[in-house]
Amino acid sequence: MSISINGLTRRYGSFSALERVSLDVAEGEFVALLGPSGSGKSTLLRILAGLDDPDQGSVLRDGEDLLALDARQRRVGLVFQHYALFAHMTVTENVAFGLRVRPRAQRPSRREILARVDELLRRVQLEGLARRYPAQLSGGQRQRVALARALAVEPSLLLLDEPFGALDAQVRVTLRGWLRELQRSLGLTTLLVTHDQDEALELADRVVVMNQGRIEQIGTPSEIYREPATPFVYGFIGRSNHIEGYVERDRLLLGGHAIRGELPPDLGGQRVNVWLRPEHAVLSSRSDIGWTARIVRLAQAGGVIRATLAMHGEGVQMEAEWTAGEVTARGLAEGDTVTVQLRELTLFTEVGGGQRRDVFRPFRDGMSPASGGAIDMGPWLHRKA
Amino acid sequence: MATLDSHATYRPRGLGVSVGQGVLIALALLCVAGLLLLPLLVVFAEAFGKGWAVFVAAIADPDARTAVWLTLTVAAIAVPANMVFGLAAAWLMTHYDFRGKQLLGALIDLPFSVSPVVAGLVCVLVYGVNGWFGGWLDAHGVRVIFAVPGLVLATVFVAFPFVARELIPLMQTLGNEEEHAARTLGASGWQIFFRVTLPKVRWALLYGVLLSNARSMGEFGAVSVVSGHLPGLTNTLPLQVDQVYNGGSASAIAAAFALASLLALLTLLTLLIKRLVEWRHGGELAHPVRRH
Repeated sequence: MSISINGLTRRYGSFSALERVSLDVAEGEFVALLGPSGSGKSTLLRILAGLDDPDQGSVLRDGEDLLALDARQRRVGLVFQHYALFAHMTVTENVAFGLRVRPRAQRPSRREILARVDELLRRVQLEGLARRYPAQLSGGQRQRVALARALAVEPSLLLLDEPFGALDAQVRVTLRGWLRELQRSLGLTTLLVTHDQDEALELADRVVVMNQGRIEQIGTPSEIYREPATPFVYGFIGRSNHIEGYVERDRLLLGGHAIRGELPPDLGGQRVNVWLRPEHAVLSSRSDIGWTARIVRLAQAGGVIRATLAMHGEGVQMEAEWTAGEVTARGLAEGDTVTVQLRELTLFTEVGGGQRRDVFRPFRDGMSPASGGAIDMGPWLHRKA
Repeated sequence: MATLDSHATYRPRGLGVSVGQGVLIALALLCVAGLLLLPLLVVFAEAFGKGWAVFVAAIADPDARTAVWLTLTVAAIAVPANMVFGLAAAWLMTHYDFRGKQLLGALIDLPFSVSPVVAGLVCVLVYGVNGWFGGWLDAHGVRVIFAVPGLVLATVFVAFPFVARELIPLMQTLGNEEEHAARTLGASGWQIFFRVTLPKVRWALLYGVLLSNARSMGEFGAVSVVSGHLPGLTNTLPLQVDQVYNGGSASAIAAAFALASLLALLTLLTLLIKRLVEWRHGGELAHPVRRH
């Protein structure tokens, strides 16, 4: 079922947990709410589950007012970070709970309940553990019981509140793939709250990045990563470099260096926030084209080498990512001097309360040391110096 | 094997007792023996001192039997009442935020800090014939003071905090996520209470009920004020013991001790069950003492 959230606001005293949040979720879609703690993502989930009430706004499920229903009538499955299993009940009793508490007229027969529990336990791969108590299960098993319990009432919407937050890294990754499969096969509209960006980007059809009670950006995982709409998203997702710069006609002045390329004319004479992914600081094939830098640190990080660079000029530090092959081929070591080219920079400018975003792709031969008077004339550089 | 020998000096020394520790332990044992164990033994020794016949006669006395019956009746009303009040108070204190929560917490503890005699007097002042409601109640033919309702009221008052004080810390530790989960699964308020909350706290509840019961059956001060000491009518067991003992004669003293031994037995039984609960389910009881 589709969900339409409109202008949801929730305040606790003067603290604003949600501020006019609007979001549409399509039927069967898997949406991840991603943000740091205190960004309001859990509050949103609790409101959808009926455990909290908004101060303003509306939520429609297939056109029906969801907020008008009490939590027990919403048929919204909620899975908690710390499972919230009933400790005094076996796995079977936990999963059957939602069916057994139904009014007699709607309650399936004893046999039907047990059949459904069996089927669910098969689905979450816990067939042999039906008679165990939660205390006798591992974290991953408990979370799957919690999921089966939520699915037992055939919810129209599944809410997952940091479901893997309390599990160790390996279990988390395994469960992630498994959950994606399960969600697809059920075709269940699902909202996942997480602060783990890998989890969000890997699992979700769309990611909603939240910060301080507001939505910063809604997009597919690749849009979120490749085209971050705000400086917050750029900094929050993946690794990034942030440098302040100044635009001067066809050049971007950056830490004592001038980069030529096509720049929007109306940015001329403005201070800009420049953001750059480490993989966009590539090693130049010619030492005379690019920005020279000293390698401060080289660190192996998975399949790539992560380099900390001290850029020539005003000593700006930058992080770059290179393949292990490149680094070995050039025989690079800490302390070496290299020349790098910046391939794609994102420029954010504050415009009337919002953020203007421009992508700047320098000319391949457009990077030169910022020497001579012309560059020092930039007001921002003067101020810095 | 010099290295092995050197390990010998690290052998646990937990059993070695220094002089200071020895003195403290002896003092503690002396206190337990002199103040707790000896009186208990004396009660039973005196009860049977004049022989089995005197003991049976003392118990079989109609007034004594009424007193036992009354004590059990009062406990049978006061304990369930306190169980319900305690559960409700603990639920309120742990599941809701409201103005005056601190005050409610203090009020729950009030019976612990107020002298039982004062508690009894308050009952008399409010429900006595010359009290606030007394006149109205009297006009409608309801007697509270110097009657069973008064005994129940006073007992409920003094034994009130036990259940709530046992439950509040435990319920605070457990939180209410399970209740939230139950709600999203479609459970009603009562279903949540009986299927989720109550099973979670059942052993702590039983523990609180036992303590409350021990206090209810043993209470003297508050009950004494409201009872009026009418033998065979409003004397509970502790009051009957007191009255028989004050009768003065040697056989009266033996009879008093016989009744006292009955009371002690009831209390010992409660303590035994309490120990059993602690032993079996100690982990599920959240004691304020253990938490700080």
